[in-house]
Amino acid sequence: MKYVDEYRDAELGRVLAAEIVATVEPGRHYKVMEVCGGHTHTIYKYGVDDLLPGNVELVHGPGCPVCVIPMGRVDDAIAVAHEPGVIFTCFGDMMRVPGGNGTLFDAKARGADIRMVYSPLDALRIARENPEREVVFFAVGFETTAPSTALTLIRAKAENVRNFSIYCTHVTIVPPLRALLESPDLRLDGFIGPGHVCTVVGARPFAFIPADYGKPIVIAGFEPLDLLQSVHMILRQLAEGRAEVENQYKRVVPDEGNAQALRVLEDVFELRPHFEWRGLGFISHSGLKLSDRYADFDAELRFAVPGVRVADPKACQCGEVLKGVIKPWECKVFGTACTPERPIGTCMVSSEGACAAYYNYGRFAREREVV
Amino acid sequence: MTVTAVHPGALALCEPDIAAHPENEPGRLAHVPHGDPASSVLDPRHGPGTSHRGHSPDRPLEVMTDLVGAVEPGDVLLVHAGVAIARVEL
Repeated sequence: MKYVDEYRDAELGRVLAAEIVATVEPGRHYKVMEVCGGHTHTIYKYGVDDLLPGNVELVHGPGCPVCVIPMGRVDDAIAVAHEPGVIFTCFGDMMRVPGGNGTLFDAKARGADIRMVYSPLDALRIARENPEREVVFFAVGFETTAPSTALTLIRAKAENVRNFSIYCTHVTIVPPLRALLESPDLRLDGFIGPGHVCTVVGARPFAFIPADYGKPIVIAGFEPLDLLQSVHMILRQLAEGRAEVENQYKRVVPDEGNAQALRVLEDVFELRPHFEWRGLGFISHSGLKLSDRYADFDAELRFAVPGVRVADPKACQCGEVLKGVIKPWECKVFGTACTPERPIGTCMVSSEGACAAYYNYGRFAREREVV
Repeated sequence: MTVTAVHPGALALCEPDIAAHPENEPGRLAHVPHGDPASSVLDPRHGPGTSHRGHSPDRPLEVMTDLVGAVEPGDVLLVHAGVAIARVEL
């Protein structure tokens, strides 16, 4: 298939793998974090890690937006969904994320009108079709998804759709990366940068990683060859003593990002002083809320939400997984009490979650040859 | 997240019928010939029980192109949650 097969060529993959082996320094252990959950899935779906020498370890980062939503926010969403007259809309993966009082699916079973949508524009359409109801969209995602919410709000405001609001849990990727780099229990050698976030924000926001921490970062695409090439580029930087932001995903990511999208985000959103991340705690300026210009569409102002912080289940180690401190299979409940069908933690829910990737693609063979 | 080709004959860019029939997997590139989504969509290889965000495996999705400027037939766009966020340079 055009635009796809070119990036899944097995022979080219083997060539890149050989170049990676030739680049690593014998006896040295490399830890490279792929920030984005989409990368995690490509790695395990295509067995990219099996092509790497054993001393190149891929560590999975906090780039699955569903996985980092704390339980208290889910409970708040469920509370809004139970408000009389509300039609609550959200993406499919949020439906099964457990809060302290069950999931949105559970709430739907208890009678709440909760509907899965593919886009916030779908939610806006539902609002137009149901003027007597309050329609709320559960906005989740990084900078990749936030423009979609922003454009929908701009359209809602222009059309004066007053029965539409947003429960906003959009987050930004740079603050948690900085938090991880400051973490004393995690040593990383480099980063595979989040390609789709970078289509919006560009490469510049990641310049602090080489500048402040001396680590290379390569913005990467999402096909197997993209990832192999990105790993090679990181290892080459390390071998040559360089630390830079490089862009492997040039076919999609302009270095400057999408200026129009950034203007829209600036108009519609503003940074929260702090936001809670599952497993990472509160991180300053890491979450988005609606700006004053769009406050009329803010579900948190329109409805009463409990706003209670809920501790994760003791058995769940999503926090350690999200920080890359442990691998999913090292979690006590991985694949036993916690499965995609009955998830305890968020990382097992979303298609971008590291635990779901490991579970679904059977990554139980851990032995690789060390160079 | 999908990449969608803008098809010859498309008139208005926000018309739902030129929208993606994206294959339903994040981070994949898909060329979707107009009117023949079934033959062009990647085989879904989801693991069991996972859910997806912002993708539409079973029906067209309205796509807004406000963020990528004027679009011509043959352009290829990266679409996420109903909004084109980047052009693809092939």
